[in-house]
Amino acid sequence: MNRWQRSVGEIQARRKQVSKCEHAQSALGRVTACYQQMATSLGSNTDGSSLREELERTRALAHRICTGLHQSLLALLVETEQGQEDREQVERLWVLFLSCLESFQQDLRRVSTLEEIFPLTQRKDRQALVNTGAVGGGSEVASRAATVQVPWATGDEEPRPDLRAHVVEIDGLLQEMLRSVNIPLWSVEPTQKAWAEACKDGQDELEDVLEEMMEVEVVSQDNRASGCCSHSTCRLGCAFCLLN
Amino acid sequence: MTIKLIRDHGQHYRPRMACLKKVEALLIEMQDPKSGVNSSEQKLSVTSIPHVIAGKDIIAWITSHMKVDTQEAQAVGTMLVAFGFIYPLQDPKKLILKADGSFYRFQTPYFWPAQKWKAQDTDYAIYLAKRNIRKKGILDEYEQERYEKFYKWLNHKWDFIVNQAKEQNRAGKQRTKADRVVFDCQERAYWIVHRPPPETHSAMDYGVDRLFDPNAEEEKTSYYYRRIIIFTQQAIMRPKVKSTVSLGANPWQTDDDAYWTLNMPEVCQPEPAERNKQKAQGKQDGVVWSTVPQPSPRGPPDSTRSAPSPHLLQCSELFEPCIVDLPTKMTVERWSFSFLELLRDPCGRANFRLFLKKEFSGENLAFWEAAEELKWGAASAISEKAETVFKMFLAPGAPRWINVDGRTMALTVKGLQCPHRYVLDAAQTHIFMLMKKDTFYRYLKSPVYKDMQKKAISPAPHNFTEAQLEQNSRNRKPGLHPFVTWQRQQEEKARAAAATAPIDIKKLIANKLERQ
Repeated sequence: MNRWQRSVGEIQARRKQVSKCEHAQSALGRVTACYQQMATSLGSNTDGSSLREELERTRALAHRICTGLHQSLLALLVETEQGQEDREQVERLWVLFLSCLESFQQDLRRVSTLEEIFPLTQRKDRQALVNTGAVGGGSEVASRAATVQVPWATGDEEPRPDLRAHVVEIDGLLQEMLRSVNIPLWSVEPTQKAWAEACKDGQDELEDVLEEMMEVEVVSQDNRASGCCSHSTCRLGCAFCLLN
Repeated sequence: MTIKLIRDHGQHYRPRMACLKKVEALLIEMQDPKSGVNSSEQKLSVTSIPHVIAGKDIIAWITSHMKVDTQEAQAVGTMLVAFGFIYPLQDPKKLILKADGSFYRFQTPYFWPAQKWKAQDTDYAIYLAKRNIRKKGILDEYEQERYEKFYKWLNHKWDFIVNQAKEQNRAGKQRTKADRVVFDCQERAYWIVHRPPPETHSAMDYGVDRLFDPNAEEEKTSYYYRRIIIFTQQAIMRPKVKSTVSLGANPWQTDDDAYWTLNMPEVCQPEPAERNKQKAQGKQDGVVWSTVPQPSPRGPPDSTRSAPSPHLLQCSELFEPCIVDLPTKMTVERWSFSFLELLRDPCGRANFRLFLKKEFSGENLAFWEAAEELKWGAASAISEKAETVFKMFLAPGAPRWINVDGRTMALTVKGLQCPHRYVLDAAQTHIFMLMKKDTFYRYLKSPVYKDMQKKAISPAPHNFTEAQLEQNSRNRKPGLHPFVTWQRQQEEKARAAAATAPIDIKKLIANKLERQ
């Protein structure tokens, strides 16, 4: 095999690695988003031991993805030198990974504090949970998180750390990452433009309804005279149904 | 990554918002379904959301639980809303507790305010992006501005932000509609507290962060010791005059009072009539006792409809202090409040100068004015002015020799060898105190002052109605540009110079010949 074919093979392998990292990054993003959504119901009346277990599972999944992604990104950084096409993408992924870790760590800290404030060990602790008006648990969100594929077949070999240790571990990881790799943040450019994420044609019908539902509450109390009906278009009067 | 400039220095030792923990405990009691506030359901068009509380119920519960009166319960309730523990449903941007049937809900503990987690810009950016994705054009103007700023500052993270926003949206879609409405309300309330809309105040604003730990022991390095040595040296060298002696006041006057007397003389002086009474009393005892300084009103009680102010009359010339022939009664009365007021007003100063001329002791005021000129004048003229001042006032046998004590004189003369702006400061203060303690009171009793009081006019009150006042304020034009004032001054100076210049006979004859 001459040099050319070898290098082509190398490039292809590298590209595959990079795309794998991209997928992993989006997976990590999904997992952390689900984690955050579940964490918002901690301490509320929808809290429960099942929610906490699901949080743990999601965290373990995130941990697996994190470690795998960290290793592959490091390897890629070592491989690619400055000036190659993939290098930019790898740097971008690195920076995104850093931000994701930071945000995840903050969520973890919050979750550990909240779990301390609202322990669920005794029955009377359930009284302390704040009635926020939510009804459903976080199970749907958790199932979404569970569907995320881990691109690396690490299995259950690595022991997953408990919450506090995880926070400390991420701290160490972040510091090490910032120290060892010298990528200036200003050199990374985003692929999205400002306001670009909103230009979606197929915006959900559901979204409009949601916004209007939230706005219903903003209506002032002056027009009590408006007769309300249970007709679906008469949204204005429906906030005052409570009076009857 | 995110630049963590502000670390948690000492905040966990001395949290500045200890109330937050107490409020949390209160809130947990409030939301108890049995012994807490009555909650009801909020019916929306498709579903109903439980756990809604009314404002008046909250106040009633606080009144009975904390055993306070309604006003205080209202204040506590407003605090709860302002911090974000309870959020209003009907007017989410106005964080107050209304004592009527308006609805509130408890905030989930994830969004409770905590001083140690500062609300991060990244999260706010994600929130704005989320709302933008859901419906384009829903962001308010100030939110759009902030979005633009974030796009610039958090540019390196922007992909992450947008990605997270999308994922959180998708994760949220898994929930039931009622839950989504609840969550959106919660998040919106959280961000209204932590990133308030412009011109509103956030209750979480606790001032500037500390940059060092107030409880940490400072390392005893050589720099530290050097600082301490310099500080103690200067403390020893400082002249130790008691503030009572320097102010010539009541020996029981504390430094605090002295501070206020020096810095706000018009507030702390007792009224003139009272002061005269005190002086009469004091003269009997031989010691001047003054009572604890009471704040006296600065002007007449009804200051809205008396002397027309420059603002109302839209006359820009009146903004500069000028010597008028007939000051108003209020101005004349103001001269008696404190010596400083008298000197500030050019009319008053002129009057005082007249009085001093009659008493043949004008050199004090002249020296004071010369010192002021030195302080405020041009730097190039300093040495020149200092020379003149020395020759005129300070030299032994000078024409207008001022009477300062030996120590001050020695200091001043020594300082004049290398003159700077404040070289006459000690002597000026001494003379000022001299005039204030002695001459000023004699002036207030003198016929010169009494004459001025009689001559002073009571100006006619203005007849502007409220509407006209507002109209005036709207039509206000900018006053004279300082350049115009300077030009006028230059012209006047030129004219004065021309008038006093020695007359050139040749030119005069030449002009006359030309005319002929």
